[in-house]
Amino acid sequence: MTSLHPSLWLLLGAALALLPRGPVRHLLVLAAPLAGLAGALHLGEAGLSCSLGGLVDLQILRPTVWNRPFAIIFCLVAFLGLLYARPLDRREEDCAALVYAAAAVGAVLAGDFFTFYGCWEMLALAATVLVLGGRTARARTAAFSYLAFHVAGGLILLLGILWRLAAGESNSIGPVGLDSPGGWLIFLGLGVNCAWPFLHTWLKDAYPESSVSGVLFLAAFTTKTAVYALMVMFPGTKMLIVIGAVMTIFPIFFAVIENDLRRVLSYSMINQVGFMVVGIGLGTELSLNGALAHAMTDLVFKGLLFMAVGACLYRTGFSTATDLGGLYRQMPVSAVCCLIGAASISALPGFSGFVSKSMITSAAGMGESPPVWLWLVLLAASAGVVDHAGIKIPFFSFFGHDGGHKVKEVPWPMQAAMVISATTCIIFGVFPKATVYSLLPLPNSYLPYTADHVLAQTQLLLFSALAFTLMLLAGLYPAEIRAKNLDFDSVLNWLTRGVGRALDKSLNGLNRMGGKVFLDWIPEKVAPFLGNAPTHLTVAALGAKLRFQRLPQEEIEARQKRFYPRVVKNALPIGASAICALILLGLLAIL
Amino acid sequence: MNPSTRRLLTVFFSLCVLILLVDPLVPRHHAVFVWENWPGFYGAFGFVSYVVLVMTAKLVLRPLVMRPQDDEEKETL
Repeated sequence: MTSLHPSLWLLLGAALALLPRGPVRHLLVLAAPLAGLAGALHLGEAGLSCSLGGLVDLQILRPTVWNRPFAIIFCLVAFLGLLYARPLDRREEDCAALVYAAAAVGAVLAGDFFTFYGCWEMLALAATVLVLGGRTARARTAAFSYLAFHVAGGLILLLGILWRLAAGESNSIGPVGLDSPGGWLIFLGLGVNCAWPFLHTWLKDAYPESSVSGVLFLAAFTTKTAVYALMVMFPGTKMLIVIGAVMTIFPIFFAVIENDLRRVLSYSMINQVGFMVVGIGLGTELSLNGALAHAMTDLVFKGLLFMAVGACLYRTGFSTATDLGGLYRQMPVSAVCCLIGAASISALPGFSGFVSKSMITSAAGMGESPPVWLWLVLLAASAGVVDHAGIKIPFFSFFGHDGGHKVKEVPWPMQAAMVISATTCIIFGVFPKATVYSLLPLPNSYLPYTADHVLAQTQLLLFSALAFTLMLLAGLYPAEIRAKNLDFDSVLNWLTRGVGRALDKSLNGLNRMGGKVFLDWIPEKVAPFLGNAPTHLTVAALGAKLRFQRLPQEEIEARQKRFYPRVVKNALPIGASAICALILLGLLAIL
Repeated sequence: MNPSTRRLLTVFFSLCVLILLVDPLVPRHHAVFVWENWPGFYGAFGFVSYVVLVMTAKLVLRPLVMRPQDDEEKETL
């Protein structure tokens, strides 16, 4: 089993997902990620490589301490997502989800850039199918923009890879660095999938438009694969600290005023990935371990929150704060699971977020002269998470004002997926050493549960929640409004429209001008001349002859004028005709 | 306000007070910055940054970016 690639099981599952509907199909679809999980857990040292015609050596499988945790957790969330998706019973989505998971596992386990790139493109295609699964006009638009973004990002990545190869660098995946244009291109290509500021709009457009289960896979694979890639290719790149810090803060503002709770979670995702990116940028043992640990815990708790909001959407048809509320009576299991997810993402001690996020914030305060601004930004961002993910999600869906929906709890597979996820969050939070920390690649002696640390975090969260309570009671908390909030995509739209208009003006203008010159103007001028070419030539020849006789200019022009109608009518004097014929014959004789 | 909500709020407010009272008793081993030793620093920072973030979103960002919901459909036509 050691050299069997876990993605093979997932791809096999993807093929079997297309079988006719029925219990057998359900079982096979669930068995595939479990087989993948077993494969990922038992990955040995042995890799798998092949050669393409002696030109390129591909390392399809290269297990390392860095990619094993990702492969394991990817298979786990694929299983949870597929379990949750059972009541929907959509064959094409199950298939796309398993291909997507296979691509993500394949990308992290890849040992060379070409295999990585192939999996990277497969991610984009499978994800597009899942976005289309929303089955609305808006989902179609979002899927198109998603594909456009990721194809562009993929091409930038490919260009970077080829550039490096052309410069004689190794094809083996490892630290890349920013000292060459190829490195920069790879950096930027990864940034698109990582939803960096200004490159993030695809995420918040596409994720809320997919189906209730499709979003679970979307939220899991694309950004975390990018996090993995940054971790092994650009550890300790200082620029990532700034990029990550911006990512932790700016989505908070958008999440606060957003009405669609699935879009709130999408913004929240950028915020959480921001913490990981900061950890990668810091580049210390603790921060890299922290980034990886946070990727693992986030995969579970973010999935859980999407499941809980998805449960509301599945039953009521709404995922908007204005239309939901008070569902805890009808859907108690979903409500409790949602609260556990909210506690985890808020990093409440005892839940998974606490043991991973605290590694990154602690790492930010270490070193010779830790940057104060970074430490404060991460702390403020932690307070912001409490608002949009910790309070807003559960409060507006399951509590708050009663939305008046008379619904049942979701079907049991959905409940089971949520309960397993919630339990995992608690197990990760209570037993970090036996679970998350046991998979970390670098030596780890971090102790999350110290008295002062627990106190500090609890106090931060309690007083953030206090701020919410007081603002709500005082009527200061921003009301939820049915509206659309513009983001950077409107700037992008404006830019692309501008580029379109510029191209229209320049290229189509050139086309029009060409048409005018070659189809109208030149023929207009040339046609009459060509029609009377012999006449004109004859008159010009007369002019030349008269000039040779040194006649005055006026006389020449007057004679030419008189001569012209006669040439047109072929009424030339015999002498002139004879001379012309003689010249012609002479020419013929010479030739 | 119904009684269960009132009870929940009472518990919550008591917890906030309690944690402030416990704060000076906990020894700081991992403090990096001097203000981490001030009792109630984390609570105050959490409260203030929460209010600032939410009010900025409400008073600055919302007026800038909010559009009627059918904006998108119109734009695509």
